[in-house]
Amino acid sequence: MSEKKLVLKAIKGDEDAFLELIHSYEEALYRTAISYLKNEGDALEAVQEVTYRAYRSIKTVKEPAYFKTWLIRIMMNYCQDVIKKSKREMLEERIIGMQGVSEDFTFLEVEEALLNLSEYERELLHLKYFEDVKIKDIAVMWNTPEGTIKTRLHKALRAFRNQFEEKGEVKRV
Amino acid sequence: MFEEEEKKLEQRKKTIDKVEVPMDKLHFAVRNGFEKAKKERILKRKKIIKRSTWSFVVAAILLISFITSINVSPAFANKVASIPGLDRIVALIQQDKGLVAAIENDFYQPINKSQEKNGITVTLDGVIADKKGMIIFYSVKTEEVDVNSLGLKYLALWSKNYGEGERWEFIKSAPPLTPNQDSHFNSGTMHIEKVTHKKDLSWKIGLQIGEKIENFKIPFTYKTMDVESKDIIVNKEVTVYGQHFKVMDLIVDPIRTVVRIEEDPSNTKKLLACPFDELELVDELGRKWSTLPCNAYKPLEKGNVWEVPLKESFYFYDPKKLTLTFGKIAAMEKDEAHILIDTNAKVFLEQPSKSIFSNLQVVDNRGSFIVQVEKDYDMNMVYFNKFKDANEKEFYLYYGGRIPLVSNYVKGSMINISEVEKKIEFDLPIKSFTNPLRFDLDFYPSWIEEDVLVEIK
Repeated sequence: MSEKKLVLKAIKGDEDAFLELIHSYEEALYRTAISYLKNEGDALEAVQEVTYRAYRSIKTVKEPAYFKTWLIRIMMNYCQDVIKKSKREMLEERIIGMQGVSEDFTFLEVEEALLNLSEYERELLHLKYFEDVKIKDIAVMWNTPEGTIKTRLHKALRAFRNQFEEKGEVKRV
Repeated sequence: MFEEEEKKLEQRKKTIDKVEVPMDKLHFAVRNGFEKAKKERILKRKKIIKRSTWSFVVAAILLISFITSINVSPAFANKVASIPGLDRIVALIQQDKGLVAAIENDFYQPINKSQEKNGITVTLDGVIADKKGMIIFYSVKTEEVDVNSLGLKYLALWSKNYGEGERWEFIKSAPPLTPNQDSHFNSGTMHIEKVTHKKDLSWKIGLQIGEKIENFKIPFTYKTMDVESKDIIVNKEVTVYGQHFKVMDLIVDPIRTVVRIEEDPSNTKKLLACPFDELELVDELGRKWSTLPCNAYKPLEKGNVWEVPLKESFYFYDPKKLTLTFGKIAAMEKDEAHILIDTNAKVFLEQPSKSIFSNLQVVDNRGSFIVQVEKDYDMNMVYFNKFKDANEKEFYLYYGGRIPLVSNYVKGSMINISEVEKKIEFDLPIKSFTNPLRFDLDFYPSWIEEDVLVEIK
């Protein structure tokens, strides 16, 4: 069955269709959660919660073609809330804990920089560079002209860059 | 233009893509979220059991709303007047003659540190700590909302050096702080039987306000009372309804008295959860000490020794005579203390002779049965936390909340379907298992009773 048909069935309340869809995106959801929360337990809890929220609000899916992104956005919202609530220090500890995963020394800096962006900017960067969603599709989904999205993306990247530069300046002092 | 930034983000994606995904736990999380949503739809009216754990609860949390004007002894009244902040929690202390004595003997340490968030002020009033444990006194005050509408989500004693320390979470439910109406003030205590980490301590409380949880964290330091525990050696054997026990001793500390009882391994009955809830001590003046309900536990799971903590301690009293009575002891025949289920044939192969289990069903890899109990039996006691297959492979039942650390768990659920009936459901393990499944009973509406009196001293 095509994804579109599955989504349409799920919207109508078909449980099996819904579960099939979620299972096919659970890994993507998990990776998004990990990228925000850095911890297996919290990421699993996030997947659980997002499944719950998705099922509750499945009727709000407007465009079946963007179902996956719809899910990812619920996840991003959830993660942002968790980050807001949880103590920043805790998150930093986790990022350090995850460093073992990466041999790249900039990992911590990158995470730190992302944490300082606005929710909107982070969401945009995540969609573009983590989920590989095309600018054109983001524009359609958010009902915003493509040019505007491009401008905002540049702004987000600049803000991201500034995080490093600011840090550098502090070091120079 | 932003090549470097794009490279960084792509590198980040690569790093996170390398993180291993725990597939079975992930499936489970999805399933669980789905079940939760579905259940909410179907069972909106049916009450879902909120209890999370029952035995081996080594903590007692007393929630008492603040009621003033109780008669006080002059010595105690003096202390209340001289220790700042003590007036807030005086009602809490007066419930416990052991604590009153501890305060009269200068064992209370005032702390009086507060944290305020969104109009709610949480105060760590003070502590009493001996070598074994600690009692934390706290108050919650708010003018904005009725304290009654706040729920207690968790209490924790947190040590910076070791990450999380002792913590009690009320996983699904947040019990109301106080059942009283129209109050702006509430006090409570948190009893910790054994403080394991003592460095850089903080006390934490989570309060539920509607959908939101407000977290408070108050760092503090304290001194341990420098007093030795008194050990009253008893070593008396006693037979209750044909079952042999030995009352070993009483270990008396300022904040807690524990009675240690050994059960004879050759007994034909198995002790169930909360076995000694009616145990009582009486001294020569008729003063009584009863147990903390459901707090008796075996420090060694496979051992035969039970520790039964009493509600109040008598460290500062010196009873001349003490007698112990057992009351009803929760116990059932060892041979009968389990149910055996064949999920293929969908039958109970074995169950107690006067069984409370019925209506076994297995549909779509889900088993369920009904538990029937008398009205006055606490239905929340009926609880399984694991089962075993024919090869002794264990599967833990997970009823929600934080996902367990073990991987061999399956989802379970409990639904009260009437005042006397409860449905227990469990998923069959995804991994292979061998029938039959054995559920050991740790609760059962079954007791033994005989008038037996043990002279302690």
